[in-house]
Amino acid sequence: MGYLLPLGILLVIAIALIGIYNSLVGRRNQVKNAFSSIDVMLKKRFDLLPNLIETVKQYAGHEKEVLQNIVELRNGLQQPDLSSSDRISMENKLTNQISALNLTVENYPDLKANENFLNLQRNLTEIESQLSASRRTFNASVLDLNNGLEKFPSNIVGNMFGFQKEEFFEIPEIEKANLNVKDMFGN
Amino acid sequence: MIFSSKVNAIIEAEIQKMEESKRQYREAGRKASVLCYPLAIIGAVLTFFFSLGGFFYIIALLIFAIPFIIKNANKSKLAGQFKQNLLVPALAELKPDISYMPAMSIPQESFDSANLFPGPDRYRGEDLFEGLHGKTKFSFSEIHAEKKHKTKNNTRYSDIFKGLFLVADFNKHLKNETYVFTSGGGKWFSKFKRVRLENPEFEANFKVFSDNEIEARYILTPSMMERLIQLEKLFEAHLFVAFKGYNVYIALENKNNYFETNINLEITKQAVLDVVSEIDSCLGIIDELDLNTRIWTKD
Repeated sequence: MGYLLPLGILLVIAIALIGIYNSLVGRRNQVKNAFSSIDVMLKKRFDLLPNLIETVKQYAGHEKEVLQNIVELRNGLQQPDLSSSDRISMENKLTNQISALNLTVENYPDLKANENFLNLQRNLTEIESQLSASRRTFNASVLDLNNGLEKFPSNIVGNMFGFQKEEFFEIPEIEKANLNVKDMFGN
Repeated sequence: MIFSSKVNAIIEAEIQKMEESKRQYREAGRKASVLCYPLAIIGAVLTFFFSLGGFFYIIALLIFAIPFIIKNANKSKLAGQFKQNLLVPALAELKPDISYMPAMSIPQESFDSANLFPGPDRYRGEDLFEGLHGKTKFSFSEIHAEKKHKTKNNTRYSDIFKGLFLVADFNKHLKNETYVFTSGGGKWFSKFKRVRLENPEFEANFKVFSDNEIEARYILTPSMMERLIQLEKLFEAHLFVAFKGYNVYIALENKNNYFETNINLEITKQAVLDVVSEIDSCLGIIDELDLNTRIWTKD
């Protein structure tokens, strides 16, 4: 009968370990899931850009520099061997360039009145809002995982099974500034 | 706010009529008091001296209550007249996009579909406003939803929700459900996940539940969180919000009795305008939450 107590303790420890391990796996998968939803939105934005560039070109030929930057960034994003940090940095630059383009729209009343452009602008705003939400969700998931990997006793389990901490997604300056998109578009 | 001469004339004539009715009602109340109070006292004294029993005490009490009943009935008659005969024409002129139905309320199906509170056993409401504010379709009314508690000897009701309930068309497309509850209140959901957000003041004041974290953050942008904090402060109320389907459901729980005037005071045009400004503050919720901004894909 004497072996029952240590056996019981071992069983409790094993159950706790399994619980903590599963919870860490869940958190890691949540991070992956959140990252993939960012990807979906970036892809949507990527597909929308040629249309946007074509429409703006017709009315706002003077904004060559911004348009050129957007085209270059889009081409850059198509490179197959792009590292994830380079990609994130280019996506952030693209966000800033699109915002810069939208700020210049005020100077082109014909463009502002163009139905096709308005539609593109709405779609872009939608995607940017979804993108922002996805980034925030990703960061919340990373916080959850990293907390698990730093707090006791889950840090022990994390180290045992080689769990890695994740980096936060850098929120572009334009989103940190909490700009009112309505003002930005002058609607 | 100036009324057209036609509406002005209607309102002034109605105010005069109501003041006249008020005088008549007061006179009727006074007569009832003069008659009923002595009668009730004499009845109670005689019942005591001749030991007539409890039944006669009840009759004396009922006689004593008659003036109160008459006064209250007249008061609610006047309150009804104020809404129907003054507020309705005033709003028709000042807010032509809004229809006002004093005796109606947000239907219970709508209250239930918000999923903010447990299903009520007794549901009442009044002062329904419907219409368009800018681009946003809305309706709001006062709601009193109660739960029934049955014991062996009696039945009593406790409040589930009492306050202002607003349903408005939301400016973004929603596929999932997101709920924002004031801390310490609201329903407990087992099927929805608690969503933690970045704003510490918001997190201290509210709890968020959703079946999609990304959509919850799509709705609850940093500025929307600030707006909800402001809205709760502005109305000094407990705030419950559901983002669901095409709509946003906003429940503001507080002790205020909205859209009423003190009938005991002199009825004036200003009293009408005061209620109109209350309506304006309710419409301000739509502005406060920026629901008229339609820059997303939903028109």
